[in-house]
Amino acid sequence: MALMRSIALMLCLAAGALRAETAAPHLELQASRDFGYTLGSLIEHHLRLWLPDGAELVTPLLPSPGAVNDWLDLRTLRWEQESAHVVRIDVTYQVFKGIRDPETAVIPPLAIAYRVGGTNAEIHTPEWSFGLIPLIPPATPDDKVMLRGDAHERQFPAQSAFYRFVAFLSAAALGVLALASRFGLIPGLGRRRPFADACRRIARLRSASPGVRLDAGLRAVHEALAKTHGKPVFPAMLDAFFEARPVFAPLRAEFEAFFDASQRHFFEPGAEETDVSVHCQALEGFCRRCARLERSA
Amino acid sequence: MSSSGHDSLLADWRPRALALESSIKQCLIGMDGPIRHITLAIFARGHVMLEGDVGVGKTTLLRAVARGIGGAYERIEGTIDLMPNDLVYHTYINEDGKPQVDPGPILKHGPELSVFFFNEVNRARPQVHSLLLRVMAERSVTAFNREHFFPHLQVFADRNRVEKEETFEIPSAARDRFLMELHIEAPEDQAERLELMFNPRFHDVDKLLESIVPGVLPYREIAGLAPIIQESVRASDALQQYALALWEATRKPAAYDVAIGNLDMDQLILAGASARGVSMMMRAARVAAWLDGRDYLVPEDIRGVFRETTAHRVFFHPVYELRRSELIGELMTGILNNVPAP
Repeated sequence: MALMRSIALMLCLAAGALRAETAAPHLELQASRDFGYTLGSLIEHHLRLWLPDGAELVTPLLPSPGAVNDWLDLRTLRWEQESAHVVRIDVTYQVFKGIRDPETAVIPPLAIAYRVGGTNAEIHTPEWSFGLIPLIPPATPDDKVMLRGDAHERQFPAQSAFYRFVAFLSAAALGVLALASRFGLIPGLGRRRPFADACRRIARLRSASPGVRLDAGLRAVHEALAKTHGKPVFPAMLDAFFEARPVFAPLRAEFEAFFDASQRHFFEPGAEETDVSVHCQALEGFCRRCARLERSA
Repeated sequence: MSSSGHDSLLADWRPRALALESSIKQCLIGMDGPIRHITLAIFARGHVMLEGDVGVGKTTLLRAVARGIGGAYERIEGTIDLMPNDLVYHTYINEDGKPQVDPGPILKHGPELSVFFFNEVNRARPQVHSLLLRVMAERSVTAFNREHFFPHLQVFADRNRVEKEETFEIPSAARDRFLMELHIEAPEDQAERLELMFNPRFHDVDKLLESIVPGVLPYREIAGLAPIIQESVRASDALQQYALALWEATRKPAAYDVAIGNLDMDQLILAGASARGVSMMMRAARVAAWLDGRDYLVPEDIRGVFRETTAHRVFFHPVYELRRSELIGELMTGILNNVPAP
């Protein structure tokens, strides 16, 4: 019995739906409110249009934006097919009616064209009344009317843009600092290792002749000393060098021997340089020991 | 003379030079540096200008040197009314009532003049400076229709840096003739200052100078020895490059990253050291190597005389020249600190 009742109910619902699809088109209008509008207000109407089978909206005949009458403009009209039989239409009006006392205004019907069976037809929105209020308080003489000042410029939230700008600048500055320290352009920033560099230069000279190797090796160590001390170091300045960089003090005797060898090589014309290869090896060892002390500093 | 003859001559003279130096050091406290530089100047055959405050021992130092060198010694005081002829001759009425002309301080001893000391040289007029320039450059002067030569002459001059009124700045050409310009200051060491204050030995200058053995150096032979020193001390290629870089740095210090505060270094230098100046620098450096017992130069020989032989030969643009005493020391230090060797 219960089953029979259910089937009967479903048949009734199906018949109802069939009736709706085959019935005449109808419109439903929704608006947010019908009061409190003033000169310049925008009024939005949301229409839902139910069309029967075979009917369709004739979009070229839809109202175009423009003046509806001497105080009402149609600003926009957009439509969207919600389903096979339902079309959603959003209409925006703007009121330009200047009044001195509150009154009720009426938006005239809007014709919506559709085609059914090869014939054009129209359906009209209902008249829509709404309460319009004046901008100027009632009973205010014209000479007492105060014009409002221009609206202030709109404040955009610029905080985040400022933070992004600062972050960009910081990143750029860090990049520049990193590059500068990498290339040794900032004194005291970044760990320079002149003796390690000198060791690498001396190692690259292994294939050169002993004379060239000794000459270039001595120059490399002199340069490393100058970079470490901040100025060229001469034998008479060794005490000042060790005072400023005591980490190298354990190698004092080797430093003195280095300067003796350098002086002999560079400045003593005709000095016999015996066992140049031995000197080269000693120089390389001396440079390595300096580099170790440099690393430990 | 053979090479071995030169070697023995140099070996003989070296102790004498060091003896002169130590003899003067015993009389003058806290002046080891200037004494060494004057010793270098004697054997480089160069003239010396001393500058310093009043009463710091400039005159005493020069008197001591003159006594040590031996030979004829003359001295003249620079004054604003001094004229060139005052150095060459003086006129007077003799005992017979007749006018007489006698040789002045420069001519009085003829070629035997060994040391000529011009005290307060900046008080003399430019005309006198011109005569001095001739005497220094050519060791000769023209007077009484002939040229007089002074082969052993060594000129010492001094000027005090305190008083500037009624003084005449020595022209750059004359300054360039001085091998060295030495700055003399009172000793910094407290013990040495106390010694100068409380030891009566240093209060009587005449008596003090008597302790110097006169004529430690046979002055007539110095002129012959000096070229032998110059020829015997050698300069390697690396050393020559170093000296050349120093010279270049006096002309273009910015090229060697020499900086003085926020000065625009490209605008500082009007003229760097002259060719004569750097040749004098090398003469003094060679003597330093010889005194150190070497027959070759090392950078320290040049560094030891760089300031003294070069600073007075570097000229600044006029806007900086007024700050000379403040800037020149920093410039010289910056050059020595920035020019590498090798």
